[in-house]
Amino acid sequence: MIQALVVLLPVVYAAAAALALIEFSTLGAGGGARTPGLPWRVGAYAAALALHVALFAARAASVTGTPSFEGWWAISALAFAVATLHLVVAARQGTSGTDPIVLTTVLVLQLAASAFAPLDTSVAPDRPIPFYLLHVTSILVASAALVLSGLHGCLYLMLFRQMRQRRLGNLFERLPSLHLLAQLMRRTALVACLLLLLGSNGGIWWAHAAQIPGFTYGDPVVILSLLLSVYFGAVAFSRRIPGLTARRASFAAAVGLLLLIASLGLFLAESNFHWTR
Amino acid sequence: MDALTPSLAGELMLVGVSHQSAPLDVRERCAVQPDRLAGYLAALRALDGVEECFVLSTCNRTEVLVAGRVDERVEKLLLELFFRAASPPQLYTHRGLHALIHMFRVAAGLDSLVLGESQVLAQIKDAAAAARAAEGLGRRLAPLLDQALSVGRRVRNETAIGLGTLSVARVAIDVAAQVFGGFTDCRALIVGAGETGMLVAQHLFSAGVGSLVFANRSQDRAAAAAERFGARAVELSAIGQELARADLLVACVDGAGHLVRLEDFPKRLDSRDRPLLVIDLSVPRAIEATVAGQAGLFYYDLDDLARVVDRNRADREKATEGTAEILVAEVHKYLSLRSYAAAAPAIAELRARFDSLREQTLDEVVGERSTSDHVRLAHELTRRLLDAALAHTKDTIRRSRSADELDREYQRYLESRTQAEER
Repeated sequence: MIQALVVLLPVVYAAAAALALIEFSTLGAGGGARTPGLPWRVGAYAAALALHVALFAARAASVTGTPSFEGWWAISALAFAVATLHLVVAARQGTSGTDPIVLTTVLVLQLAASAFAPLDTSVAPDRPIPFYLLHVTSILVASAALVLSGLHGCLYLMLFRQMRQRRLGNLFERLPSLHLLAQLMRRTALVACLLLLLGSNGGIWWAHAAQIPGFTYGDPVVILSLLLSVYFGAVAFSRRIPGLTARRASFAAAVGLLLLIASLGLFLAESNFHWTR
Repeated sequence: MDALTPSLAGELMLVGVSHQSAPLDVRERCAVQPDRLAGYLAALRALDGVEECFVLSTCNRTEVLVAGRVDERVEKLLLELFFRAASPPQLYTHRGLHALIHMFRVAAGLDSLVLGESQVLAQIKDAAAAARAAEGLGRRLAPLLDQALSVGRRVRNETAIGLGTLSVARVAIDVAAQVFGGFTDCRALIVGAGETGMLVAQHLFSAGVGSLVFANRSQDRAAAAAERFGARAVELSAIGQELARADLLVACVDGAGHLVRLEDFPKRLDSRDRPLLVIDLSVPRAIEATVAGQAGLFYYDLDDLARVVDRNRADREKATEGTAEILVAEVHKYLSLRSYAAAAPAIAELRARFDSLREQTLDEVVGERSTSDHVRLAHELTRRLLDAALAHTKDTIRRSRSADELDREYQRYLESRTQAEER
């Protein structure tokens, strides 16, 4: 069951991303229906999320405890969180113009997770539920918000560049406005900042309460989380910081996304990067 | 034509002039003013042979659609009543199915000066209301016009024919919307209070622009424009000061040279949170082109925006390819509905005959010995026989005109249009 879902999930995400891309490239173009892929696109997106929930439920049942959010499974959880958070944001803003880039990112994350996540059903470490869930969920949603902030920043820079070059092409026609992209970039940065603070401190509190031996404030992930939190806090409040324009804040958010990717790489490659491993 | 499918030939006729057939001065003289429309409709109704009538008069066309026993005599009367100012090559007449196709195309915006524009739908709706008030609509034209409106909406919903603006002023607003999202906190400076400037101001005003300032060579004109939109008017020398606060600058001053120079722009524009948008719609350009190189602003001139208009126009023209299928399907639907309506009296008669035969048979065969089972059986048998007969009739109606045949008719209509244009 888990193996089948692990294989199927990237396929469905790929279908959702492909349909979003088709719709993006044909929307408003002449000669055909206005939104040819729309019903299937929404269906594929919903199916991918439903399959993802099923995968985690199956995983939770197989390990007879809390589903593990560590290692490559954490990457899969991040993919799910990004897709879900984006769905909420896109529905609130009434725009689907950013779907292709977000779903492609989700696809890459899930593809990697499906390729490398271990399928063993060893019993998960016993965690004190409230703090552990608060810590893991906050960090997960914060990371998803951070990914979205970075992606919106990238899109802002792309659209800005195209408009600056006086090319009113596809991105001009199909992406949300620069104003909305900047707003999304800053708001998701704010969510990332707050949840990173909550998640890091929740984790520290949990480690103290549980008196887990070997805990150290020097844990690289804790330090990185706090640094990212401050960094994205600056992005979130960039309108109030003189000189930190929407374009520069977008660039900062895009760099922040690279930092997150680098930290994920370290997290996966280095077993001592986070003591909970 | 099958007996069950009533012919439109000799029943329906459309005579008109449009932007494609006649110049503006002829169209002006053929136009029917709204206050005289009722009188014209009454005159039409009084014509021998005209049972139903409809007049569509817009800035781009005047068309008269009549139904009844319409022949060449009626056509002559229509020409005499409405189109004395037009010469024969400037006029067109469509009869029967071609009149129906033409009306559907007009509603779809395929015959409009601005391809795909939707204003024509409202105009048809108003004209239909006037015709209805004058008792000019009946069993032929009322459903025809209802369906024409539905065709117009369907074509715009299912194809890209109505997408993308074809007005440079509107494209300028679209560009601004793509930068600022909304306009409520946007400060706009418009240089020039001529026709284009007023059009841009109107669009911005409708979009709820936060603040609007006019600068113009003639201060009186700027003040008048400002008063109309609740804006401020400033002198050209104050442009530099206004630019320090503005988010959007639109210049629409023809033949004035460079009214806005590089030194008018504030320094360190790149430290603003959002870029300054500069749009020059003037010929020759009223804003120094070197401005485009400044950091922190987007600069567009008429050529940049015209490229968008050209692309939108090409997209709309491409979208017309997808409309033929919809129009043919809608013509088929109209003819089928007409046929069902035409067959309704015959169906009612058939139903009455079946009922009468059933009662007669019951009396003859079982007479007073009839039980409720006999009656139920007789009713059920009659109902099933009638359903079978009607299903056959409906199928015959549906098949009486194939989609291929209508498609060929649609192509013949297009060819006749092309030939008329060539003449």
